[in-house]
Amino acid sequence: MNPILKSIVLSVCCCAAVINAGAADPAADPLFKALQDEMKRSMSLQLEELASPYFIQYAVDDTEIERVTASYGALTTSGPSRSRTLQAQLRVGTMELDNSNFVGGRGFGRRGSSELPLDNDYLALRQAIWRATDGLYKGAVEMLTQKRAYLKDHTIEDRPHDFSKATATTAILDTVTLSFDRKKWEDYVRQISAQFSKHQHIQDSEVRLIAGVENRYLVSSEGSRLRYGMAEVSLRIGAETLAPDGERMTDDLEYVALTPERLPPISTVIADVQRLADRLTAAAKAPVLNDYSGPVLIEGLASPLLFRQLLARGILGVPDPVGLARRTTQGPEDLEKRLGKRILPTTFTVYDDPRPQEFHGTPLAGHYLYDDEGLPAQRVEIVVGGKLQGMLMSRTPTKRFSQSNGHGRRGSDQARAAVGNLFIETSAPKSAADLKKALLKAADDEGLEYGIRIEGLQSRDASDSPPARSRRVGSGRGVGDPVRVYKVYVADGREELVRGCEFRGLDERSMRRILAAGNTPAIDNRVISSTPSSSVIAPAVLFEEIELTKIDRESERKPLLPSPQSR
Amino acid sequence: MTATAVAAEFVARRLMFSLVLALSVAAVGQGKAQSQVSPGEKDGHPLLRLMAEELDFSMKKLTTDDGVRPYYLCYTMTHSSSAAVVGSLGAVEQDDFRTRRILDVDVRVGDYVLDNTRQIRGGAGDRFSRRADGVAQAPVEDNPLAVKQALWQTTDAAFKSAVERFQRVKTDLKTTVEDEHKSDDFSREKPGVHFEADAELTLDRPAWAKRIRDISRLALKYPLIYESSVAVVGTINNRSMVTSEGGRIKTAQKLFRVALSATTKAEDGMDLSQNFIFDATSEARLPDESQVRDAFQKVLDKVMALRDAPLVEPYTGPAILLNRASGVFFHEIFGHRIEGHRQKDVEEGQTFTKMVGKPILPEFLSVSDDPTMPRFAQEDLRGFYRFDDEGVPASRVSLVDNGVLKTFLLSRSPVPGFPNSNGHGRREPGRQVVSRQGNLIIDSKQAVPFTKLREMLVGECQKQNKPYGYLFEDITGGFTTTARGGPQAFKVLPVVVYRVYADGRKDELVRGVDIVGTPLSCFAKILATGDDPAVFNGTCGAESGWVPVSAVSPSILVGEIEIEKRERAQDRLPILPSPLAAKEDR
Repeated sequence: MNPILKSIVLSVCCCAAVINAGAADPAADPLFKALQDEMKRSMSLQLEELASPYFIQYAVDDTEIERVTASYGALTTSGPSRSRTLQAQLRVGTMELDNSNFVGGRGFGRRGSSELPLDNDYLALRQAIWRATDGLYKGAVEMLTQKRAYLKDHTIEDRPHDFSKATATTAILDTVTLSFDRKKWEDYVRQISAQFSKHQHIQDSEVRLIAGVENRYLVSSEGSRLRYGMAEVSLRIGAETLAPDGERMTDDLEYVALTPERLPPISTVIADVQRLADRLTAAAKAPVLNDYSGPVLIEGLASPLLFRQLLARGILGVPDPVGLARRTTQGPEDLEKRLGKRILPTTFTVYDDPRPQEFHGTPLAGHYLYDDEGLPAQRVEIVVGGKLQGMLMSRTPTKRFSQSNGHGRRGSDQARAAVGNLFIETSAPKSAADLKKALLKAADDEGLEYGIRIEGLQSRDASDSPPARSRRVGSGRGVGDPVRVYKVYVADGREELVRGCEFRGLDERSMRRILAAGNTPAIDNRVISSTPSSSVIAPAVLFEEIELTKIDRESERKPLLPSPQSR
Repeated sequence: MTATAVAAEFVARRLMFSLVLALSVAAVGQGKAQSQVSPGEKDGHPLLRLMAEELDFSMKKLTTDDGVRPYYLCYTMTHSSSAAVVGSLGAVEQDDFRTRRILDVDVRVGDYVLDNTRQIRGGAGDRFSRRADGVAQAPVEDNPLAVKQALWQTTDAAFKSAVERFQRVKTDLKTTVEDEHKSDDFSREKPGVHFEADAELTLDRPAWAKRIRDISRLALKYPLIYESSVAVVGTINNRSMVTSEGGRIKTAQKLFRVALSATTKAEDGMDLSQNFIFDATSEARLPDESQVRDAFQKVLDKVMALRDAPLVEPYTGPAILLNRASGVFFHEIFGHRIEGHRQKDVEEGQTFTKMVGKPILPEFLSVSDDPTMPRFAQEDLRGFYRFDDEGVPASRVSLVDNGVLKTFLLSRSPVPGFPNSNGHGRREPGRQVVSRQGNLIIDSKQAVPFTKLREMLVGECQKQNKPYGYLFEDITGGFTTTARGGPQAFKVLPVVVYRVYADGRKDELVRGVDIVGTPLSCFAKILATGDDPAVFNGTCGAESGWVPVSAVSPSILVGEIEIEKRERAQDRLPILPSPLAAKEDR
């Protein structure tokens, strides 16, 4: 159903507005009982001579979502949706070698995701769980047979185990329900979207409010039993304009809160929209930056966004799949082979800690108490003194790490290693003024007339960010194009807004050449459908050298007629 | 390759929406807050007015740097609302209400003789694909600026892509040989002006949820039925249309449906399913609880009976297609082949293109397509509409008169010898219009009572020295290939089939039957029909998406029909017994 908010911020301790509905006794919960009973029975599944499951886990996401979108003062969608999705995991074989992590052979196996009845009807629930498990088991034994056959013909050095041991967890927390005054929030979204009617130069815009609660259930054959509720609200505002040469320029705002009531007052949002429109309009008029190579100061949201691209994906402990298909995924290199080596300046520390719910009063989207394999969240040291010390792990081992550290999380698929709250910190923070000075000095040392300061990156998921159709995939390892780019002149410190450039050759190795870091961390909260919610918290950083090139784009043609609001 | 299909089931849970939606589905509350056109208001069509204003502005001002302008522009705004409640085994599985507006912008560059829609050789494949430009999700409220913003953006994109395609069309014409037929690209029609009040979707979902819980519980007694469902779906489509020719049309379509289904497997793993559907044009005309209950019980009984039915062997011989089954048969093997656009598409098999004026069916059969018919006997017809998706009034078209082919189903894309539309240009919102069926009606002059038809079947068996013939009681759907490259074949998927023995033994239910064949040979072998015309209501999928259709046909006796054994699904039976049978936990 509605995949958005597949994973949302846990709010067990602060959901006063989101009232507990369920009793603490899991035995009285028909869904719990149906899951337990069917799991118990399913452990005896056996097809002919083939093995029975050695592990079953059922996770259920019971999701309620309100979604309101509007453009130019009119709703485009509004309304609730409800779904209850079962994500079943079934393993045959042993922890050393089971049906998982195999690509190739016939098909990809079953995804294990199916819809459950919305009513708490024990028999109907069990019937649906039974159907799903039966199919999953048949797929699993076939997959294991094929995987064994493949491994007979192919030698894989140091193949890690397929699954690791973990201690069973039991935590039965309150469930949550969504209270949402639809009329009120429709007005709120309408009013915000109507602001764009005033801005002739904005070609397209959308305002989207999504409020959701999710009650999650987890039972496993190892004895884990979890139930907890989460809530999250996200307000996103996207706008788009065209530069005179046809470059499509976008920018957006996002607010994350635990309940709609905690969203900023409309006057604040409207003021922010005004600034968004102004800066987009200004950016469209700005001159194009010609090729540049030299020091670059990455500030504000640009910093956490850049660390997402350069660091966050490389620290996920995910083994290469067994099978015919070689690993072909693009993106930053898997950093595991650089364990113990320096990947950042020695002043840097990086860790992931999903437990904090807020940072300086701002909610963290990557917060959770238990991961999707039932393990308690824990802090993991990633980089100490600039050296890579650890990876984020699910229960799927890699060559170097055999145990989970509570970072196995689901997007729309099976749990795998994922970021929670990733903190990037420095032991030598500098003020904004000092950073600017350092930028100018570095530029001067290079004999440059100016340095570059970047405030934003156009790097959010294309499918996620409105208006979606015009998103351009950033070049070079998925690093989004910079937005709000300024030349900072060495001579007098004066700044000039420029546009139309992209990064070249920027990758994880560039992080070693960071000269300095700021003292005011920015938070990028991300709530998207296909991956678990996460937060990256990082200060401004000054890179010794980054290459920026003029974007060679097939220019979009300008609209032939003036927009309705400008007539 | 062109394949078309009609499906009656259309019930399966989440599919219900995914089948019909061109753009991402918008979940929307059951709000009446939207400022809708109030029905009956004299000049109260604010949405039409906004659309007309933007259309006029575009027609006046839209031009490329080198002076290319559109010669035709059409805006269609389809406001669709759907409510669905689905349940199984006493529990509600889905309970939704959604609404959204899809905007289609059709723009033509060139002139009526030659424009951007002309087929490009080798480019037929793009007909099935969803068009990229000219479709958008529009605001569900009639806020002038927001509506115009959507119209403006979509028109800009659609016009640019039309200009570009027209360039390709002209290049293509220079480099390829002339078509043997020369027909225009767009017919001239009198612009339609017609206003219906907006329909509002009302479906008492709580009442249906209760009913569905109660009725679906019947399946609790059948542990061997793996999946079953009782569903109600209500859909309204309020369509607003303006064209640069002066067309101004507002229509309101209402489709309600109760769908019942049950699925099991035979011991050998063959998937077996049964379904039953009630169609109506209002909630009030849907069946009452006891009718639904009885029908669901029958579905359950039938699917259970199928488990024990013997597997069919390949066979060629006489058969009766019962009225509704016969309707599907005609829809697939006849209806799709007389769609106008297939007659001019060089990639098509063109079975009937040169047959106008010639006999193609037995002399006693006549076929028409009449979308203007709201009902047949007491049954609502899903293929009913007053204006097609090009704004042309629907009309009854006599396709075959006493066996002789008269014309085709025509959109505004003319076919040689047929320069005008007969109101059969249809589409699902978000698709390009092509000619489609509405209500296909089969009339017979050789109608006999069913008992007599049955006797004739037995007689035919004896004549052909066959121990038995077949009776096809129910066909849920089928598909047909009309493309030139592929075989001119069809396949229909019967779900309830009986062997009728020549020696007077009791009829025997069988399973695993597929009817195969080629259309022309099949038509020639229709020997007689019953006097029992009945309605098949379905949803037909083809190039222009899914559209609701009906077929009305009497039972037919065919002298020779070819039967194949259905390929078996590979899945095994469930390993553990159903929880419904596992008493220990209850």
